Amino acid sequence: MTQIDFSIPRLQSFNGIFLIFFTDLVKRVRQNIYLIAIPFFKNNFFENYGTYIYIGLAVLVILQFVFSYLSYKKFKFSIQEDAFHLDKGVIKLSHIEIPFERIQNINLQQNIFQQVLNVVGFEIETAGEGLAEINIKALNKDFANALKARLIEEKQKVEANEEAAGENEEVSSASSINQAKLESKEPSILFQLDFTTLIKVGVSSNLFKGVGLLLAFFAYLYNFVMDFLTNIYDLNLEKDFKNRIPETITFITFLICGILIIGFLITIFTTVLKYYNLKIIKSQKNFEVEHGLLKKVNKVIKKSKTQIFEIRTNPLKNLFKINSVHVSQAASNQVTEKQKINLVGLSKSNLTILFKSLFELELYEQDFQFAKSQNRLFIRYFYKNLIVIIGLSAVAYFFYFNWLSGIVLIVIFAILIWLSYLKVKKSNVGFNSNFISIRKGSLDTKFKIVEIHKLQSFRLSRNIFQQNNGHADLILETASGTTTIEYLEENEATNLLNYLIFKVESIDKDWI
Amino acid sequence: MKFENLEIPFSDLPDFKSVDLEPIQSRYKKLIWLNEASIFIVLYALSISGFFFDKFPSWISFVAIGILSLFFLLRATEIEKGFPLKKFGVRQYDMIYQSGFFYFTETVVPYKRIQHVEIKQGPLSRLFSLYSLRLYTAGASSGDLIIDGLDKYTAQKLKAKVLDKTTVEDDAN
Repeated sequence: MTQIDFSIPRLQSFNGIFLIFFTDLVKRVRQNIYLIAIPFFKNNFFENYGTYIYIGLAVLVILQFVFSYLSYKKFKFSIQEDAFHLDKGVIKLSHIEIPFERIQNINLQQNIFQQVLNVVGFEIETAGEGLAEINIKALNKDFANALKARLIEEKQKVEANEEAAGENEEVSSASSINQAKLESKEPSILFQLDFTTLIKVGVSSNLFKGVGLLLAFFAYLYNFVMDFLTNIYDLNLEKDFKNRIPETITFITFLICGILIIGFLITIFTTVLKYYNLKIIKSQKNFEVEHGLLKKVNKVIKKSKTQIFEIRTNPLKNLFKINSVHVSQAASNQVTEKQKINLVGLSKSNLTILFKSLFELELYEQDFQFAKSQNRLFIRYFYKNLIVIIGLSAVAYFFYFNWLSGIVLIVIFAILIWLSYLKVKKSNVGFNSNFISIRKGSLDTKFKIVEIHKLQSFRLSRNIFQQNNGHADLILETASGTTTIEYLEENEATNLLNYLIFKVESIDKDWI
Repeated sequence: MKFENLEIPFSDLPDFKSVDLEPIQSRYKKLIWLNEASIFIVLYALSISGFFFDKFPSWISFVAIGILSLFFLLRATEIEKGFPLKKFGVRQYDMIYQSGFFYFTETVVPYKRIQHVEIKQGPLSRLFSLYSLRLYTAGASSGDLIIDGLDKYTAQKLKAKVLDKTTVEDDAN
């Protein structure tokens, strides 16, 4: 591995040309997708202009290929003494330099194109605030791994040097390098997800995601077909179509059941695609997470960067005895659901091991003292639900007002009330000398664990009603987002805040 | 809630509410009013101009003026009642800022967690020679501590204090 000379500027793998070409082409097509509709608006479009169109398209594709080829040729990277260098750009040339110590994560991934062409995507994340992030689209797999190993090695060297310079203890740093090298040579698999558990994960995940996907797809299809038909045959199909919806309960129940079942299947299917062959590998001090069938994802969990450790369960997951964990790492903005690193299908013992290797403490020995959200929180949710229901009623009143919609509205209202009740009951905050835990959720349970010294700022908020009845919302900021605990008793919240501030100020640990 | 197993009992912890807070410059209220008035004058002018167009139904203008007045009343209460609540406090390891009448918030940011400090002055605040101090943390921007309406001396003193504390921390590490 080490004989590859990284100091020579290199191109991407040869197959990269095609990859860049295809991805650019897909991008172009996506940008201009609406042009497809043109032929439908003009009669005899193809008869009149057919040849020109084909020639035009061919020219565009050739131009695109030339452009992609040039961008492939201009994309050169190398490792020099101090930094990772990258040149790119066809028209606007740019040179990017990333010092080794700035490198935070290196991710390898493979989408479907990359799998067909047998190359991997190589991504370097930096600590900068959304600045240079490097994305190399196509590398030979072995080469990518060698490059990654080399960059990590360089980074460790730099860090070790810094330590040595700071402490003047070269012996210890040298030994730590050796240790790191030793450890890096034997990455051990911490966890591997087998197929049956994967199916269980699919079954127990939120089926409304699948339903939502399905409905979105139908809505898109409906709009597209309707537009198309209305344009071609000058009739108002929409009205016609609406009149034909049978207003029988059997039809509607059938429809709802169908949507739920298909949504359920879609959920399982997408889960399997996403988390296929999930692996957690321990390498040096960090963890690598790998998963995906069509799009292979490789992410790194850095111990020091980890901010929020979130355990999610729901009744089905409890039945299957699996949990999922969502790890949020420090970022320059609020970490979105997509940016969280998701580990699914973990058993209790997996959870313990993971927690222990991240925080060096036993998860189930953590003894939290809890402060609960007070019951008045229910009133807040009630008003929110009331607004939703009033909105829906208004819609129903104007469009579809009969006994059926009335019943549906009442049922929806009852469900919302019930969920709010569960939410209020579940919401609490716990703390001990190391961690703070925040529990939320209605049917599902989200249990967030944050190390106290990773908190950034604290806020107590009381609206005019809370000022009168002695309650407060506690808002905690971490480097990966805001967490709010609603409606605590005011003196409990104050005490907790005092405690947390005291801990942050007295513990001599950094947040990253 | 039981408070057991803590290395320090709650009653012994320093209470952030016991700190003497300092008010901000009272001329800042004029600035807020100036800002507020300019917005509301434009909005009122827009709604009143509705009366001069015959095709425009006059009830819309009435409703708009009604809603605007309600908002104006709420904002006026917020400014008048909320201004005396805008206060900041400096402790040994953190800074505190409180504000708001309808939503009373108290923010505490430890010096340790401050990424950088900024003193800002907008065009209007230049007229009043007022400054605002902003303490950035690594958290979301909603968690930053912003103190508006400081005079130059206080702003610089606070900034120096924060910088002093943060650099001392850096040296220690």
